[in-house]
Amino acid sequence: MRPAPWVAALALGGLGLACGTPAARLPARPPAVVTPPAPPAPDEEASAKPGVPLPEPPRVAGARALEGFLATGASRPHARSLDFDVEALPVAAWGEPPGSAGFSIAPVPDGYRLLVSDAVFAEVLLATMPAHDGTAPVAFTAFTGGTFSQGAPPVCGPGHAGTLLARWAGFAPRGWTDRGLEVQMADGDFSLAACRAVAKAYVTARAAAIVPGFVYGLRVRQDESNAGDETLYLLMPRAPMVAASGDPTTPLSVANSGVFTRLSFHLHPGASGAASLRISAASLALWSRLRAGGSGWGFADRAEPHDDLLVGVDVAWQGDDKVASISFALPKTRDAGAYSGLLAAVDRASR
Amino acid sequence: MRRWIVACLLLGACGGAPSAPAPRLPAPRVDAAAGVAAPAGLPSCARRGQQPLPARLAAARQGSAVVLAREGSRLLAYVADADSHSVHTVSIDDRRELGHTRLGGSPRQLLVLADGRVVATLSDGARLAVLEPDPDPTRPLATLCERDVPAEPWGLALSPDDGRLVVTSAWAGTLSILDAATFATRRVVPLARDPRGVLVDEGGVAYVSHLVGARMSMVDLASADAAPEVVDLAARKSSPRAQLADMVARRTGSQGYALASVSMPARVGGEASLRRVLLPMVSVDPGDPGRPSSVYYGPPFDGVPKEAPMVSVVDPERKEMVTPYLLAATETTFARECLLPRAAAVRDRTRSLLVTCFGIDALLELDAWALDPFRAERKRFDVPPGPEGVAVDETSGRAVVFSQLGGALTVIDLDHAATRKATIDLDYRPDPKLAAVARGRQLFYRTDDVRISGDGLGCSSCHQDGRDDAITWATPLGARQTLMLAGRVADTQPYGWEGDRATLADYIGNTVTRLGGKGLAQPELESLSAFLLALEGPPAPPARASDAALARRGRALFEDPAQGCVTCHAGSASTDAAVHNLTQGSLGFQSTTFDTPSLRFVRGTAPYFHDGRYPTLEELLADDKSTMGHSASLPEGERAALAAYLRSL
Repeated sequence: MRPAPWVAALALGGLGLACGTPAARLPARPPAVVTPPAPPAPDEEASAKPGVPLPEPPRVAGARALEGFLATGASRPHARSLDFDVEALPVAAWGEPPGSAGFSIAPVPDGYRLLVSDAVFAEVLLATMPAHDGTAPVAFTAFTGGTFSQGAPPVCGPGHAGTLLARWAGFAPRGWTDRGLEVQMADGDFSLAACRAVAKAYVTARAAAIVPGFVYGLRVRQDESNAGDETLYLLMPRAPMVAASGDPTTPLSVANSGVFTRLSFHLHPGASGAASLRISAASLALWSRLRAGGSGWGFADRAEPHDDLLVGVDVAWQGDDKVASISFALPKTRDAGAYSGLLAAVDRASR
Repeated sequence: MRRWIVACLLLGACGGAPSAPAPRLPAPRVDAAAGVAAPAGLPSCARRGQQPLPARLAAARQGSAVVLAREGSRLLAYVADADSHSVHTVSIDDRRELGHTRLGGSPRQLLVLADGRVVATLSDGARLAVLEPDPDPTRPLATLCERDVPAEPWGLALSPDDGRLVVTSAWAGTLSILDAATFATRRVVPLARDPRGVLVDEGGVAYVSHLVGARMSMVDLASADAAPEVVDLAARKSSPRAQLADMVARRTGSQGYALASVSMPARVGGEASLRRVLLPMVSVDPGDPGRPSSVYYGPPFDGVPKEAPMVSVVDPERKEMVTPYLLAATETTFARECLLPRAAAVRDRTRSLLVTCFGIDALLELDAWALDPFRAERKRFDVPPGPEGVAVDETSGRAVVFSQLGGALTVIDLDHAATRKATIDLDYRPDPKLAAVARGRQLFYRTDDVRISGDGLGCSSCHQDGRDDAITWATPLGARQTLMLAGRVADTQPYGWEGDRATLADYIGNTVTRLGGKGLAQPELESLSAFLLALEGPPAPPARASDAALARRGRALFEDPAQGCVTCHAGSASTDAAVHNLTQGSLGFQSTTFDTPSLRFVRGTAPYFHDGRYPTLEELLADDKSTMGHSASLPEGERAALAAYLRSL
């Protein structure tokens, strides 16, 4: 099942409070604007502009040069790739939760209040019980520390009964350095009577930097000894557009983006995963704001994601080994200045 | 009578062509000059000279339209110029052509053997030629011998021990395994339709790309009779805007001309230990033929075009794609996409996959380790029209691109690309018939031209080299299969499945309008028409006596007025140039009248029928629910004879 369309939601953050109407990821996005053609690079032909003849007419008597009628629009931006060693990333295992781990959702007159016990910036996912095929459609997801949500918030409180599957993950500014990030994740049940999720399994670990200050990774196993089955989590700045491989019936089990982006890749021998996402300059500014202890409150992104930094992630467990890379490609139309910090970090990590 | 007439009418094309069995070779004789055995009755392919020949580059065991060899410190290129029926010898260092060799056919790919001889596939027939360079590179190469192989030989590769030479035959749909010493055929392996590129890995397994069908074949060269294995390359799309049904749907593929392989380390900075096969192609979403589409083609709503470039990355150990997902993280598509990938090569030192692209006339340098290298484009270089082949010299870091339509070679210093690119004009003397339609030919291969389509597609997107893509498309009128054009448009007017266009120019004009193009001027439509009329069909496969006898029986059935086939499929073009009503099997939204298609070259255009409902000719002829005639009630042997005759057309 595909998640329900975006709906207006209100999340309260700052130790779990944020509110407002959803500022991003609305369906009523205006039609994408076609950008003017990128200025040709030194090695690109001038015929990217309409009306300019192609440089190489057929060298055959009687044949004239074809007029240039090439479509305008941006061509693929050139990418730089960074390999990273999955095995070198920290590994953690699910364990017993602390008694306080959980989150609550409290309806308020114009929305709801979301409170997560331990992480400042967290995503929560609520899903219906697994179907016979094991899929568990996500019914609702929201982020604290900002105004990002998808699906209808659960109708809960006195008089309601039953549970939903709940998962939440997040991190806090405290201890956030270029080299690492403290991450908490939990699985549990959300009680519709209590409007509260209680953790049944919990993991906390320090994710390591893949691109220092910008992209962090962590592996999580069901138990420490099971090295043949793990999930790789990547945390990075918010991406207004995310496309990821994986079961399309449970898209949010592989990727989600709100005040930050979380990618998940379930790894076992023969498994692979890929994601393609866009990170805007505004998203990078938001990321910096989060790290400084601020929130995503009031954040508004542009509606031109095709013009943002294009990020690709590839992960594969091929043979006995895991290979992974992350690529970054900046459209020529985009001012590189806003991305200079990230791209410099990529360069440093490449050395 | 009438029912049978329609049955014959809607034969679309045929495929799954059975290949010729490996010929029974007589006892070999020993060739004294080379110390190798050559089949009796066949000319020796042994070298005639004694002097060392330019040496192939290390590990270069895959054919291409341009291959490199080293003569001392000088880098030479041999170029397969199919248009000119020539092989050019070019000094890359001096940036000039040294000489050229006229051949008796159109060379498609070349391969340098360990001793410096050069093998060429002659794709306009059913032969390959073994050539010996002259010690003086300005002099022509000598033709040592020719060998028969199944029709339209295309790709070439050698096994790692240089003991086996493999040859794909595009029209016959086969892989021939030859003894590389004698060039005697050891085995002919039937494959799915349109095999093109081929390479052989260290374990002696041949990997074959297919122009259509989103598949790769694997053949174990050591096996005497093992059937080929097929790797499914059908992708799924993923996009923030894609609907669930679209994300689940399997796409198909096209433009599978080339493939390459890359070694990579398992750990960052480690030794190369993993291997992947890379197949540049185009992933295609033809829509659901069971539902009418609102438009013929056009820009997508979710960022994933109907035709999108994709490099299928295959894990040869698992025999499957590493990931089947085609990702698009945007709502808009890119301009100047590589929608007609043509050739590929890998530069291991920089982990680069180099792909030449017709249509945009470019060489793309991609990250060869990415799960879809098209998503990780590093650089692109503009080259003259029709980049047919690419070769890489790892030592000097140069890529050499042969542009067939421009008759030129481009030398690119990959490490200093912005300033180091040179074009070498070749002694390009195309067949006059081809030269006369050069303008239409260039138009035919253009992509990203707003006059031709609104979403970047070109004529050759569906009609590769004038053939068909084996795809049944959802259209507003119902399901419609792409028709083959090469050798089929002369004297077959009216045009289109509905037969509503009297002239070819009119039909092309209508098609580009359907594609969302702004339209071509009449002279350009005429140029395209002239090119299509000049396009020759595939070469005839060598007839076997048993096939000929069966086909004769089938022809008698076909021409028997009682069967009614020739009522519609009449004359040399096998069409009555008329529209017929067909109601069976059509959904409400579909039109039910169809022009009689020509049956020329029907053997290689599976699936059949306007909606592609029959995978094989046999299934078409055996369908007892068909309203088209009585073929289902014919004895199986007669149906087989009828099918054999159709395959001979």
